[in-house]
Amino acid sequence: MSSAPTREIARRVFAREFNDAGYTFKESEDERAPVYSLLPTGERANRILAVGTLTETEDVGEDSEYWRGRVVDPTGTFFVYAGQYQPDAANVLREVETPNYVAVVGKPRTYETDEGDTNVAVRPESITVVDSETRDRWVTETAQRTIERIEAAEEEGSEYARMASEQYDRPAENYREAVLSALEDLDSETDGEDADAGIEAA
Amino acid sequence: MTDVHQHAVDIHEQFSDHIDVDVEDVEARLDTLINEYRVPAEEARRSVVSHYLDEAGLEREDIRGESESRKIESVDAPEQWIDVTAKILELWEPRSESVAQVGLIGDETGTIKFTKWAKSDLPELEEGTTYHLGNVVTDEYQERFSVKLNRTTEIEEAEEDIAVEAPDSERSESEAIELAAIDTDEQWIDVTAKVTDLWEPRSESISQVGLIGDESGTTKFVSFATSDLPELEEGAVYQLRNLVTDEYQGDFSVKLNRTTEIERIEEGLEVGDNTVESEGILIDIQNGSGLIKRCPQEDCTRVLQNGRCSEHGEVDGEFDLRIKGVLDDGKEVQETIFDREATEELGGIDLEEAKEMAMDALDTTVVADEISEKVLGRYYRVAGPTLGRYLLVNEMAEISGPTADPEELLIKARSI
Repeated sequence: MSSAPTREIARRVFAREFNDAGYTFKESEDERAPVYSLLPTGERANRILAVGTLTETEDVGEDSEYWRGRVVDPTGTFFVYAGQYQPDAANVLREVETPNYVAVVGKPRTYETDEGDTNVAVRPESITVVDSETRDRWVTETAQRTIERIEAAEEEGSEYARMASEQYDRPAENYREAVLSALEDLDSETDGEDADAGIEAA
Repeated sequence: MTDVHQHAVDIHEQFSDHIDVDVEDVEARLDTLINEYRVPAEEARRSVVSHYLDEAGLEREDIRGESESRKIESVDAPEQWIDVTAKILELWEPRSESVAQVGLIGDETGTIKFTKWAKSDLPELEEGTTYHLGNVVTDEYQERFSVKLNRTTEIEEAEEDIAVEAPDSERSESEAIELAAIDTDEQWIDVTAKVTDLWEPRSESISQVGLIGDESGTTKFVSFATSDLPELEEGAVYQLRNLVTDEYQGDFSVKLNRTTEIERIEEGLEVGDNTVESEGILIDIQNGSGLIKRCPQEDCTRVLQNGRCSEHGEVDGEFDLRIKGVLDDGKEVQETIFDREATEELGGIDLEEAKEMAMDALDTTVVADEISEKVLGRYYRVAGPTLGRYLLVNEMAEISGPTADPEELLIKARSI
């Protein structure tokens, strides 16, 4: 396409896989080069999209407001943190009623816990309230993308798939199970709904 | 004011059998929409009717409209209740089970598509027969009108046959479509298009060759010397009936022929580029979105930065609405631009409302914020021509439902 710096794609990833993506890396020495989290299914992620149920929000800041939200998908919980540098997202977490469906776009960030474990969280660029259809669509989309990543890792063995097999000892099987449980969960709610409205129906 | 009152009286009459409401209440609602929010009267009326339908738990077709006797040619707005006397010219294959019959009807002034719903439980219409159709409702889709028969429609066979202003049998199979929708050869079609280019014919058998375009895109056309048709002029807009499509190495063209009817129409037509489609979640709304100001200099229209045009310096800008949005499907990103019309549709805020909002807040950024809140994180499918790395949105739809069949995904996930 063009030579302009390309925008980072928002990876679709379930909470279970995201929370395991504790290994981060850069692709150049440049200080401002993007930091990537390595998804265990073998893809780099500098941005993710999570859609789920915001179940709780809490101001965990000491001196200034620092909001933590729990966003739950069929496989686990995303932790979302927004402070003074993410004022719009912090506003949403402060104001919104729970439970509510939200779409969170953000950057993966890792931090060490007091016990020395590496945790993965989302630093939001935006949080918006959405409806249940958007959430259901995200579940199928994320299932689809995860399956594609697992298949690609097995068939082609990309650079990131190799990196994942070196960095993580978690087999892809875990994430296949996450996909299965997410889809089974969805399948029990939605049977035979119309696929999509399409432009014609606009 | 009196118009508002008249509309209120009409609406009140429609509902008087169903719910207890006074004319003043109806009028107040209409007044707010029409006089405060500058909603066109027809639209306001529709909206108020919807409100009362909701309140009464009724479907739109449960209330009888005040229908008037009309000729087909005069149909120029949707959601009007009319009576027509027309002949069934063609019956088409319904594409959906909810449709009992669909086809073309005509009277002395023209032809129009009709749809009869299965649930309306109406008698079968026969091709070639003329009927009085009482209380049908008009509809519009992509600027084409049609009429819908419904539960309240009265159907009566007419004593006399009427002469229809219509196409002979040869063109009866042609279908009005947009140029970009051409996807098979030897299809008989009708188009409304502008002649955008005329080329030198390379053969004596060809009288004219060039490009015609409509809003959806452009297509090559050929007119043969033997067809003996009038000359088309570059830049003019024509209604062309009974063209036949052709395909050569994957490119489609249209051929004019002896049966083609050419009618020049005095209307402007914006010729579109070939449209592309994109879908994904609206993941970001970029700077320069919302309520903006453009340079008023002729042919400039640059967006001002702090009241300055990069070409003309400090100018009094003109307000406009625009959204620069990014669609992301998890594999690719597509940058898009929504112009004023598209932004109004997407965000549900028109330019006047946007200006008022900005005025109240003493800040223009509230507009983009408000729109973002409504649209970010939702899935859309958009279509339009591309310009550089942007897709210029002409059509949009919010999409829901799964991206792939969950059953199939399950089978796949189990098999890997």
